[in-house]
Amino acid sequence: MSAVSILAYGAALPRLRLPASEYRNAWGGCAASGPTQKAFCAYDEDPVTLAVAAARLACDRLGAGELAFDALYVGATTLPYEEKPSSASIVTALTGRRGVRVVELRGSPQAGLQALVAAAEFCKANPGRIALAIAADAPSAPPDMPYEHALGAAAAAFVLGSGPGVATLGADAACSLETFGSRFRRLGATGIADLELRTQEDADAVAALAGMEALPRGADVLACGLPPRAGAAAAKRLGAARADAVWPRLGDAGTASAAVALADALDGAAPGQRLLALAVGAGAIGVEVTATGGPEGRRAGPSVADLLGGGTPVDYVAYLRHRRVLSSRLGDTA
Amino acid sequence: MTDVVVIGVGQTAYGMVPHRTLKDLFADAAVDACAGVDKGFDPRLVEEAYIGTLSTGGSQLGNFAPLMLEAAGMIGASAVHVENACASGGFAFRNAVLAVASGRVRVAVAAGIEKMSDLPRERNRLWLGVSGDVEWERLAGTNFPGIYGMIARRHMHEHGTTKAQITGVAVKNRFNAIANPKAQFRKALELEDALKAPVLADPFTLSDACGITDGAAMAIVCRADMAKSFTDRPVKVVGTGAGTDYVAVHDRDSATRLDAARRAARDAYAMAGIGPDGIDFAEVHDCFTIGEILAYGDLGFCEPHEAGRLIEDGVTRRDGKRPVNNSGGLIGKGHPIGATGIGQIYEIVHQLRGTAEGSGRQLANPRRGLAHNVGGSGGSVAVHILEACA
Amino acid sequence: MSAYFSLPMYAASSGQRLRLIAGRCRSCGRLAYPQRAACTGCGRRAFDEVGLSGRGTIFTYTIIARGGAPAEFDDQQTMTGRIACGIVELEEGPRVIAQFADWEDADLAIGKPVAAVVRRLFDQEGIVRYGAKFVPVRFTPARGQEEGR
Repeated sequence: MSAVSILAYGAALPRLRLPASEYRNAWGGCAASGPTQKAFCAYDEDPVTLAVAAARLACDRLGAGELAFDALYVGATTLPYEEKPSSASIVTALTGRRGVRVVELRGSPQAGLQALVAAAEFCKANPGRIALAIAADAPSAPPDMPYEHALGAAAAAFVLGSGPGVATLGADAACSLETFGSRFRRLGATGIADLELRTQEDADAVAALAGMEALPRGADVLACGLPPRAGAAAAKRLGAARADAVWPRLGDAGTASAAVALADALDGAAPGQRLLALAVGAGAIGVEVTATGGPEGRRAGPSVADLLGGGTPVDYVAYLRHRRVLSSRLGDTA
Repeated sequence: MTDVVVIGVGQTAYGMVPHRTLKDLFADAAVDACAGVDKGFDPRLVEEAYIGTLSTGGSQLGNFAPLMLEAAGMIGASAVHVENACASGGFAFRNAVLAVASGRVRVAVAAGIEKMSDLPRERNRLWLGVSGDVEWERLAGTNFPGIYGMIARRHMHEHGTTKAQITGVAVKNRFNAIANPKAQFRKALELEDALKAPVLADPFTLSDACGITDGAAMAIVCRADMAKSFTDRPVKVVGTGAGTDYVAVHDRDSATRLDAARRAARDAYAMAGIGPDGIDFAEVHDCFTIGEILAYGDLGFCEPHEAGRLIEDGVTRRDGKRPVNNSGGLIGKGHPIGATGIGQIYEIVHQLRGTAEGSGRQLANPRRGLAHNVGGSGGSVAVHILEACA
Repeated sequence: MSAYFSLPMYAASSGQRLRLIAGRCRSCGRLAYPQRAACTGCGRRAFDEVGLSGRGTIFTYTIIARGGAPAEFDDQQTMTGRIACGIVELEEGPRVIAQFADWEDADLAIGKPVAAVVRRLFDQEGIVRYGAKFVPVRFTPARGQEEGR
């Protein structure tokens, strides 16, 4: 059974940044743990536009003109509709072809890596076919909730198939651990609710995953996009040398956090380097990724570090305006 | 073809009259037009009517023309609503002229009306964005200030026209409007203030744009050989020309000329047997200042790169060699969209008859006047040349 | 009631908008973007679809300030201020009007390079309308790469 390759990948961040200092100015403190800033969607951006931007970068890096992919897996919790799949809009933006299997995964930050794993399973079951996996998210919460301070936005896309690429996918494993009171959103609600209990449900999920012993230990980098302390603890649990450092400049980008962290790790990975991608939310999912060096040009254009280091900082009122929190007439333009 | 003359014109005082009904506003123009026929005019003589309006805010979309004829005392005549955006009036006039010229109709009217001051702010903007190529220009996020702003930016780039020259059109036309009793804005505008006004759509400030205006106007035309029973001072329509162009500016070869205006002018000049030099004064379409700059080139008054200098050198001022927009134009006199083209005819007829209203506004013995009426950003244009009867 | 661009019409043009699909006239080879029924060169009505790169330069532009944008963009303008629009001359030849995104004043000048991205245009009738906007092409140095890709 030949391994599934990541043929190309790309990340996309919105252009705007909100410095943590703006929360201190507005609210007297920033409740997120240790961020410098976060990326967030401008008025005319959303997970769909970010998904398209990430996918186009990945496809451009393949250098083959319009990519003929047969399946699209999208992991997101904040697409504009509960019903009417935005993935169809993403397909329209990428190709005129109709014969594409489209699957949307949602429900928790795990959905990004769930999309990656599901796309890999499609490729394994359909040798020679290409699948596109995209994690794109812009989680939100009411402005007066402390956990709102961490929420940002991003997307990362991976083109999977057989043949030489920048990395191969190895073992994957997942566990389920129902949560009670952390990070939930009822049907029709626009923002996340979180009761800020002292239970450590995410840490418990990582422990459960580690206990399954299905994932190889000894990865060089744990790509998870978690806050520094949680990331370090997870790395220790899973036997990885260190965790990524994406969080301080990205924030919590929901399903895209782990995916962007993986793209960041791939940017800097030497051939043979072993990565472990991890996402947590009512359970955990992990997948082994081994860098292979890859064909020329597969890392052309902006790296994740470039994106994180760029962007335009704005103030808190501008942030609220862009996030449409202050709009009384949004959508009423008949 | 039968010769056509104008025997009477009428116009309301342009401005904001939110309390005046549509029917009453139209009646005012009709009464003024009939009263303007020296030997009297029975409105029931009208056989054919062309009435221009964009849409008066949606208050009467169907059977608009018959409703207006009721107010004018002309009910029973054949009538039709003419719509070519801001050129509705000009095309209404053209249709009336052609109907009489065909020999089939003896007496016709061309009228126009617009009423928008009674709309809430948001509805105003809904209506103002309807005359571009909606599918592309509106969805790109721009109304006409933006589209004309892009044209101005390009004119400055290609021809070296300066912002001060372009805005000089507004200064001139606002000055011209001061003495015009039927103009909307009768206060002088200094160039310095105009350049410092709030930005509308860069490079335009609010001073580069016409305002929202209510108004109505009417012109009565008939066969030349019938004129004597109505007036001893008919005004002859010696040229009519019209054309269309791609509605979206991005579909045109050039963004700094209006091919529809060039074609309309060419046909009008040819019909009149004259060139641009035969025109003593003109009323042109300055919905935005750049509109008048474009007109100078499109009407053959000069080369496009000389247009800015024409303003700077005062050639088109009231006391200049070839006065343009002596009435105040759209910026000074006002722009009631559907009526504007007829309002231009109103001014030209009065000038040619020596009856211009307002102290100091009468030009000295003008022989021929030209009206240039543009729809939207140039998708449709009508040009007319009128001549004083000797 | 006002100018109203219906959902079926939007749907019909959606792929063309998002992927910049032009029509190449089968008779004279001229490119039409936006697509149209009849070729502006020869008047014929048969085209082949051609995807454009999305790269171009600014042909002309404007920055819309106070309420000069159509009502669909009113909320965007109220919330985010000035809206920049312009005509972009695409590298394959055709010109198209569009809104600019991610711009600063220094980016807007005739001749500056821009590239198409997918962005939200507006919400109406509960449906999000996406379209192409153009962003300035600024060179981001990537690790080990030359400027500009």
